[in-house]
Amino acid sequence: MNKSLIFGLIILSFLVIITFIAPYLPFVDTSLKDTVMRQKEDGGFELPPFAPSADFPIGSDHNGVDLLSRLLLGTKETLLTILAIVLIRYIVAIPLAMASFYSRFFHRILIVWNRLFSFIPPIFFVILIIGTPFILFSDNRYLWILIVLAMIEVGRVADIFYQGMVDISKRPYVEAGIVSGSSPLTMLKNYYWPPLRPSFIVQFFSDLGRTLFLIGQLGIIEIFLSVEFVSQLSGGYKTLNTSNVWPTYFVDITHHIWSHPWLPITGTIAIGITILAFSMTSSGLQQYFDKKYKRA
Amino acid sequence: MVYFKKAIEHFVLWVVCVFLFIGILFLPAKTNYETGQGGQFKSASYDYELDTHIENITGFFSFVKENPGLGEFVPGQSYADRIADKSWKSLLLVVPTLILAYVLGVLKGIFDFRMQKKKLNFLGNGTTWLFISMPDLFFIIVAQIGLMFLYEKGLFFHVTLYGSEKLETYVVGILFLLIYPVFYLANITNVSLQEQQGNDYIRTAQSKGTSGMRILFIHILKNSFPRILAHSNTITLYVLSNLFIVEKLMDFQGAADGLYDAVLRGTGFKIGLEIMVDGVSAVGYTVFFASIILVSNLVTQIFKSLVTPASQEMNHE
Repeated sequence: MNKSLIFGLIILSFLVIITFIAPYLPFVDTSLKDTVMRQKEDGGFELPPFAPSADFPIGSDHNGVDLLSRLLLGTKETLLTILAIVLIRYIVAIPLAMASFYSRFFHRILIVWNRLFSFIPPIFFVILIIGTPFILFSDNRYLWILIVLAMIEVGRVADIFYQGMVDISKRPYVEAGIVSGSSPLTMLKNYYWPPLRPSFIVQFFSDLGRTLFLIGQLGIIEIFLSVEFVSQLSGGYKTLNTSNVWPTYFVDITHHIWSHPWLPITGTIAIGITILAFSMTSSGLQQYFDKKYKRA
Repeated sequence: MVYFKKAIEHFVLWVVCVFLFIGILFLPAKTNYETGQGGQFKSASYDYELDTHIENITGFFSFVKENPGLGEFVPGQSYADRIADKSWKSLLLVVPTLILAYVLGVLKGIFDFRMQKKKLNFLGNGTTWLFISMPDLFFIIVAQIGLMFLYEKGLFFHVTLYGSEKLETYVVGILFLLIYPVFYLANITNVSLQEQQGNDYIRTAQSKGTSGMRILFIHILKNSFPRILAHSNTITLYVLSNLFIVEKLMDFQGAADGLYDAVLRGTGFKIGLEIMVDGVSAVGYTVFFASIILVSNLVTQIFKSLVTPASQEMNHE
């Protein structure tokens, strides 16, 4: 009985279902309209963020938008974002791993890349790169940030698969393949890929969790993926986040955590449970493959 | 000799990284703003010019040469003082965290290993698994809100969670930073202890009547250490990365906070104004961070050379 796989997949399928049905749920306000002010029962007015109440089941954000609606509608955006980052990462990492297996030149690149990034804390790198005017004012800022976040761990992922291929190349059956005259492409497809596939799938899910954690951390230090420049009273322009992605609930966290705790709590619970689901699925799949191939 | 070569390699990497960062930091920040009729912001475009870039970098070095104190931040306080002050505060968080992470992590790993076949296994492997699978962000936020709530109800004494002036904020900061590294190392320790199980040298020690604890701590652990130390770079990077989060959440005025302030011109700008990094401070903090990684790598290298048996030296590079 593979409990972690079952639990992980149940939570994940629940999240996927939400992404599809969220706009049609009766208690979800798809227009996400602002409530600038509202009257209290005992007279007087109050300003958002509103505490949890009948109107706002888990409270509202600082614009008076119903947080539950934002949370459910944001599921799709959050999942698509991390999926995009991990896909970009693998599209670069897998060919790099294969290239460095066949060519010494690419292997050099992989080693240098890894050594260099072993000296750069990820968040530090993101702050440095995202602050450059080239990315800040780019029309495709969102895409650039996705690419930066994907690149951070390309070396790590490529190295895992490179080591995997080196291990496989030492097994006798690979020699048999070479002797029987298989072309390099057939070797790759029929001899290397099948044993690599399980670790690819396991790694993919664990990377999804890691990426969500990273964008959660970036949310805390107020680096958001999509922004709009908003005019300030002082004549300056401030970047303002414009999406429903979960990490955005951490905006102004040091201020909200005492006065309006439902904002950071919602964000951290949503992110925490999703990451838990990804790591459960990942370790569950590992168990499943170990058992299937009798490696346990 | 192998270790000496490694040390040189780390040092070269350190130099390369610092120069790479300086290259990024001094990207010319000449931005063309496009404004509408009323002078409101419409869009901005950015053109890279190599000449300005080189000028920026050489300008920085001549500036440093002329001003040993890196110029005044406020009258009476130079940039160098300020950077040193903030870095010292962060150092007081990072160094105890790294040391404690290894001590507590290995102990927790041994505990997990010994609990494995017992009924209370969920206390060992269960907790380790939970703390690795959930983001530490979750535990930090819950701890902050929880402590505040308990204090309000009068169930717990007052803990200062903000600032960087009192001793207790350092303790809380270290605890927050410790969460993930301890459980990560516990997991690694547990796995490497399991791999050693059933080896001949353990049976030999048992047959000579050595006590179980002595075998575990002296014989098995020594053989596990190379495996554990292989993860030291991951741990250091994680702690430094998390420092940004913890300093932000605690309003701690350390080096991560300083770097964030110096670099993140991205959060706001004014039309007509050249947004520019506070390059002097940014380079200072960058050197600080890179040096922590360098020192931690060198220390690990020394420990590796102490615990790795000569016969295995080649396998555990």
